[in-house]
Amino acid sequence: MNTPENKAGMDGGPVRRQEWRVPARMDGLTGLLAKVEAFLEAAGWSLAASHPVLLAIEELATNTIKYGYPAAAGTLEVVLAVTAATADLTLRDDGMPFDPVTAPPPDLDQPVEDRPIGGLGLHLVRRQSASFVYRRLATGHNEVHLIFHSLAATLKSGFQELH
Amino acid sequence: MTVTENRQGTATVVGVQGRLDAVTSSEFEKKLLGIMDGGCRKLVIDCSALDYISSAGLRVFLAAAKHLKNLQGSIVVAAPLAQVREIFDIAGFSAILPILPTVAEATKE
Repeated sequence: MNTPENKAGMDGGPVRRQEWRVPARMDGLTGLLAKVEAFLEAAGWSLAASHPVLLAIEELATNTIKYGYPAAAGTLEVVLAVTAATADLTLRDDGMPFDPVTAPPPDLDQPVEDRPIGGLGLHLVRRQSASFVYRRLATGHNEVHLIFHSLAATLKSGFQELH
Repeated sequence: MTVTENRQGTATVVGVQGRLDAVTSSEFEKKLLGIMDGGCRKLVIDCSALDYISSAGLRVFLAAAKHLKNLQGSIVVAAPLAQVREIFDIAGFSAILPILPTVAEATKE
């Protein structure tokens, strides 16, 4: 990718862009999430606004780390481009093919005693993202691309719809 | 992630601060299991300083709710921040766990 740092976003504001590469291991996840949070904070995103972005990285990376590498070690790649209003997130891994977008949704209508423990992560990601797309690359990588709108942008568009 | 614990009447109020994620949630689960093993049947989880929760954190709440239901006990979620409340809502937990705006209301529940 070669997006210039100062390219204007769709909302006219500047785009800040950062990439991270970490080993596909659970002990690398905490540090990665802390770095992404600091980057979003520097771009003016509150923790409340950043929460869906951080959660998507955690849920998707956790799945990949747990199931994507039954034998070999791997690398996770995270690319994040943000404006004041929008976060554009790309996750790549070189693990086994897995499409998180078409994973079956959980049944949320069961009582406590029947609720399965687990299976909620991808549902949360699906519901909190404005766009959620998977493709398997010819290079043998999984690539997931997501778009999030910040709370401020959501409130603004809601306001515009009302007036 | 840090956990505090204090008794208020018949309830045990457990404050959880920071983040409940795939790395920290197992420690929180151990603490709750210890409190329930100690005889607690009414658990109030004070979420007012909980900044972040993922599905790994939700799993702990669900496991505690199942455990207490078997023991005729109860669990109440108190004072979650907006971003955490949204996760409870999207996961459908608002229908299976009482969520109250303050700890005071939760201990009365």
